[in-house]
Amino acid sequence: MMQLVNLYFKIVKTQIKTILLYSCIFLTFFTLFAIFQGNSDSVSMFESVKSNISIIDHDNSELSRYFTEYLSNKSNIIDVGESDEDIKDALFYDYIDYAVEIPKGFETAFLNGETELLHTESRPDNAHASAIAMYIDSYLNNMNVYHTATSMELQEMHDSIMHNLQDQLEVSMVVKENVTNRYAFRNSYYNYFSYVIMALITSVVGATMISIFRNDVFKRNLISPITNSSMSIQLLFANILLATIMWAVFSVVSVIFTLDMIATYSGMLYLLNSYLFTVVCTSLAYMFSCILIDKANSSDTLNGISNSLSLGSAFLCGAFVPQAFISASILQFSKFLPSFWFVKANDIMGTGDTLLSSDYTEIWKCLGVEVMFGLAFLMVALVIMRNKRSQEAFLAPGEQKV
Amino acid sequence: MLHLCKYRLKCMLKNKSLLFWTLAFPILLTTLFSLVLRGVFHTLPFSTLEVAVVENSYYQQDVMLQQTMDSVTLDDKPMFKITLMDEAQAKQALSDKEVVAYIVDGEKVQLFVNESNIKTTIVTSFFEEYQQQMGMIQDLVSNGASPQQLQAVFENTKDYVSQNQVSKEIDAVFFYTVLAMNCLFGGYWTINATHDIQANQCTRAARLACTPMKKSMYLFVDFLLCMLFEIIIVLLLFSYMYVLLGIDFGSYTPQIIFTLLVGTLAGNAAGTFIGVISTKNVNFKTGMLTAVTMLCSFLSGMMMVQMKYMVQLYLPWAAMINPVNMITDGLYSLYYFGIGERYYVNLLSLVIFILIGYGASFYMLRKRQYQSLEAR
Repeated sequence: MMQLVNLYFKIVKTQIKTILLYSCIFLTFFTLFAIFQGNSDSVSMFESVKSNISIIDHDNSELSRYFTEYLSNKSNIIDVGESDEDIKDALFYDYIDYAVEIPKGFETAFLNGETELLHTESRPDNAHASAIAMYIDSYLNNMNVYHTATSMELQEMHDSIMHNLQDQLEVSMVVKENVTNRYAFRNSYYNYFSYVIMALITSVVGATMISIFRNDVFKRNLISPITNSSMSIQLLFANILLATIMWAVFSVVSVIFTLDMIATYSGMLYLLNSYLFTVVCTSLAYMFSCILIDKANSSDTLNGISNSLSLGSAFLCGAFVPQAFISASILQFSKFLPSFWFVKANDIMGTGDTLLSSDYTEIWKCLGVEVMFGLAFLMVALVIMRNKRSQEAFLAPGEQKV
Repeated sequence: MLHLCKYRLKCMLKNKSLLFWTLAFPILLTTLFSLVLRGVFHTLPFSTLEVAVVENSYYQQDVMLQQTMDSVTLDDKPMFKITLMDEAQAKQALSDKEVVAYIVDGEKVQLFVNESNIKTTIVTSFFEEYQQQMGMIQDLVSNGASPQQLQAVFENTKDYVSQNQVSKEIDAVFFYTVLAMNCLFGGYWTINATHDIQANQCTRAARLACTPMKKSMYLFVDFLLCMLFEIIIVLLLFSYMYVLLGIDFGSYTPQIIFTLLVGTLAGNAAGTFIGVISTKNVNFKTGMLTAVTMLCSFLSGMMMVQMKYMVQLYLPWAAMINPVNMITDGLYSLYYFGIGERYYVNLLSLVIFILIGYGASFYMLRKRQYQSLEAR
């Protein structure tokens, strides 16, 4: 019983290194991600977004210290080093949005009514930088108003501004935001899953099937007492079993990360969607193995196809970069890849548990398209297999049909 | 020697799998990057904010607020586009995302938003500043300032900032890392070549060891061919990026090509080193080179471009010993800063890396003798 299933898993065992490599990298990456993103609850209070800036203070005067204090209220001040190169690097990599250099003699020049005192650097067209520039101008202009209209000391002027600033504005959030970090985390976990599972299944299932279907081995199996249909059923079972095991491992990890969210409707939909996608990948792998059985260097070719396809799908279908950022013409092409529908369904589920009935229709449509892809791959595979199992196909080169 | 060259070249051309990994795969990756990643990292410019103001008697009399909201600008664009509506409409407009915020004017201005983002932050900041100015006017009046004085002061706003803008595109770094990774991938050819001349690793090498030709000759021919092959591949990839995809490399093309040549040499040295350090089979060694290169590429920002900066900031030593980062940073410094100290430091580190790689490899390869060789 089940000799072929045993054989199948024996061959899978020889590829354990590939499986471990992909799984470990993926799981380590997401464990780190989960640890770093922390546990934030849904946002119900308005919090202003603080831009990151760097300040280099060459003046170190009373005014420059007050000015820095004011900016630290409005932004996160980050130390990235003092040299021009350090600042430029930080701006280039978007680590800071704005850099301010307070030159020596700033306070004196300010009190003398001079303008263009601060040297700043930013990337063009950045709303964060525009906001910071607005704060700076506003603070210094207000200080100047006090300076020209009153005889206040610098400290009094600064205290008045800070006092008026503390007269907090009443800001209310009308609708509680539902997209929390944890929803986003779950969504990106499953979107990246589409890459890993496709790469893993196409390479492992594909290579195993190629070994089993290799001409000489297959001919030998055909003369064994196991019937053809039993062989097909066992292979089908083995493929589904392997796919299920792999899916289960990744799903268990996702369940551990998002324990409180799994019992929801969207949690279940994620599991269903990912399982369907795993099965689609299996049927894709089966198709490739059928195409490649009699080709020279079939495992090398499979390796190339598996890598290109999984990486290509992940990029083009929005697993690595959200679909919203990808141009419409590319997405038009991506619709011919199963990953597109998988990611699309995930993204709709990722909006939290406030799904509308139109969202559900869209999700079921995506799942339906995935099933169609799975069936289509399987059909192509069966047709190819049928031709390759003819007597002529089993002849060795130069051998004549008897 | 020509005879040897011909056959080694044939061997290389027939290695379809390596051709895929060193030529087709990077081109594929570059194409995907250029299709998807270009433009994703562009910062969002400020655009006029749509806000709703709830029409009430307080607002109609608040000429100051009306004038300020109409006239305020940011980045030379009007800051607000104001629509007057009643509270129910405003609420609906907010939830339909037609406006970013709505305002109810009163003793104290009330602000309603749905999200915490830069747009709502700018709206909030505007009203904070507005309140602050109102407070300031009260302070000044209580200090005895006359209305004329006040007006003169407010009309005389000054520009305190001299702004310098740095316009370079962050996505270029992705392409630099792919080029750098590809330079290192050149090591695959060398791993195969060194495998073929070590008699304890394959029968072909054992046979070659019996021929009158010196091992150094084999090594030299392989070095020449591997370098030539990889240089052609790297230059093809570079031309694909530069000419077809229009990636911005800055204006120092000869220096870029020189950096790539040195990078290819570093890949060759890494391949030779991995090739001689272990007696395991070729698959193990290529796996090792892949793992090392991928880790180095990750740390140089190939998967996440900010990673390169984080490593530079928090683990500078890791950036200094990483050959992929040396090449990437060399290209980046040419693009961003031009020819300068940073460029030369990267080149020098690459040269040290190459010297160590070759030095160690030749030390291990020289005068190796075998007492008995098992058939493999």
